Amino acid sequence: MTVFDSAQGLETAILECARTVFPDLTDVELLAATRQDLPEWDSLATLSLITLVEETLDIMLDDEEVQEFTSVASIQAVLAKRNGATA
Amino acid sequence: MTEQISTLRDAMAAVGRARELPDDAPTLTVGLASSFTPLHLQTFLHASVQVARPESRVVMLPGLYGALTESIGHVADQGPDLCAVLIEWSDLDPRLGLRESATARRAELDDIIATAQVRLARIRQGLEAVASACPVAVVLPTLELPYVYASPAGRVGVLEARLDLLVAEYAGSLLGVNGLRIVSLETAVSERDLQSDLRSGFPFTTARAAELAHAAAEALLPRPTMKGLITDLDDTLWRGLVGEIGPDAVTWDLESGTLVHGLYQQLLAEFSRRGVLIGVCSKNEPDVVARALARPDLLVDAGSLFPIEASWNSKSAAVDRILAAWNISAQDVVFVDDSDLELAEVSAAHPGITALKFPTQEPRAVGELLTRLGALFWRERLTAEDAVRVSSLRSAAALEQDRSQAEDPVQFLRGLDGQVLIDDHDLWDSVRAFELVNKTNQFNLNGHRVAEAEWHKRRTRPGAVGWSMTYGDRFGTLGAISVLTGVLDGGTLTLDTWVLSCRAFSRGIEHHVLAALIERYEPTRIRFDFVPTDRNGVVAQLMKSLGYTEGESVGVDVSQLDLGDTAAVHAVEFVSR
Repeated sequence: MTVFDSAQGLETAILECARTVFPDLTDVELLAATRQDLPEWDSLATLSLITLVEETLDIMLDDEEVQEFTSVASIQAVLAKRNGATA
Repeated sequence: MTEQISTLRDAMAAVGRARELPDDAPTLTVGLASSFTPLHLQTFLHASVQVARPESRVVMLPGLYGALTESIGHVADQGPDLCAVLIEWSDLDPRLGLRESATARRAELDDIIATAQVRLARIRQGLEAVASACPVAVVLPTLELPYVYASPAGRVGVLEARLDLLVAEYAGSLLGVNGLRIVSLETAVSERDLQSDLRSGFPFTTARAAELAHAAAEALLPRPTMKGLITDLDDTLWRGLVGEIGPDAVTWDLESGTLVHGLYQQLLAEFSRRGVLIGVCSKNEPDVVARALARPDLLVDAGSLFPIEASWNSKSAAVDRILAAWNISAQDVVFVDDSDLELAEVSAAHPGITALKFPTQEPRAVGELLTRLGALFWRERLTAEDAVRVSSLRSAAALEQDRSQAEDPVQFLRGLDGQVLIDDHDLWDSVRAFELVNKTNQFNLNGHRVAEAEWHKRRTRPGAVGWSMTYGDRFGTLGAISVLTGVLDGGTLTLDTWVLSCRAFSRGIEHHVLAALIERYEPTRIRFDFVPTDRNGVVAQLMKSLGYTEGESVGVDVSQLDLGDTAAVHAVEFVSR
């Protein structure tokens, strides 16, 4: 896994993934985005986010982690946990 | 075609580039039919087509997911410009998919085969329907069979063998269907994403999805095939320097350890059969070359090599002469030579040419070269014109020689005993006609390329006009040499496509075509959708003679039109409905 020295680095990486999937949203909107509130966040968007995160961080997410892909904030929390365990 | 896109990030970025296109950019619709939600495969296919057609806004039209036949029908109903259909084992029998096989008892092999035969027949009906309207890439099953039916690595089980045979025969039968392109990638167990298959029904890894999408896009948007190959002789067509050791001592056989040259000759012979122009460019004495090329054991027919340039002058100058004889541009040509220096010299003088080294001393690298050449010159279908291309070029050369000695150009043309045959009913299904429209640059009304889907739509336009012309004279037949499409609306005939093969220039054929259009449709006005390009100067000249002024559309009042004597030197005949 790519290890980030700071929460900022991880956030930047996650935002980049989210920006690729939702190119019309600003960073502020992305940070607040949830699957429930964002109409374009469908199952394909979720799978795209999973794959992009796996590509970017060079990891394989397990099913429990994937379940948390319901908002950018929760993705950040899941990955921060991993990052903390790896760092 | 472009490089394969390997990551989803790159694919999504490529898709996103369409946002930068102007609002009036043309739309290119791509149907994608599969029995599962195609997820990343759709994204990768979208990206691959978008990259290959950057001027268009690509819109994906996915099918309904469930039965593949319904998915194909749903896609067909949306009228896509291009279509990809993915067939997997589970489409032949649900028991061949992981989700079904996991809960089913192990089925009898004969029962699975029988079900597969019925389902493939139904899928074929759907494929034929959609292929009648647009090009279709059919991706054959690539996954390994479910674990319950799998044989150990390195072995082939009965079911696997029977299914492979069934699919191979199926693919063979589909090759005869116009508009279908068959895509087959090797089965690789590592390409199944078990987690994704069980989680979402999408069976491929991201890497495999990328690979499949790229292959499908390549099949749908094939790169234009190269037209000519110019080959060196010494240490390329054969081993040895013929001027040093003599025509009888150069080799290309197994016993001499030089069979790589024999394999190259064999490939050139096949290319020639496919209508590829093969020229020779060698620094040698012409008579020595002629004696070597006359050897009966040569694997490529020396008669198919034209022109043969053997001299001590620069190779770039020889390439110049060959291109002039062929009347094609360097970008349509591959130059093969064993010398880095010669490759560099020719490349510098002809920047568009594809210059490839024949690595004489490295058999493995020769294998790679032959594979690459095979791809560069691969053609899906052959046309009658492919067989006569070289002979018609020779005829053109003989005709030009005669013309240079003639005193009266019109009398000269009359003496050709030319015949223009106009076919106004078989155009739309003609591979050659479609090909001619999309690869002719010089006599091309506007340089526009026509996608297959648009081609199909043109035939159904009200007042649609579509002609293809063949030509022959005492120098030989040139085959199908001209195509035009247009619309007749009241008294106005508008031509939006008109191409004429460069092989048929200088015979006044364009004037005969105009005269025939007037005779057949009796228009009061003919409009030409003429757009000047870098290469269609010959059309610009014709338009100028018809009254074209730069920046204006060309409309000709037929009553004012004078086509001159050259419009009546050949016999013109229609192929009637």
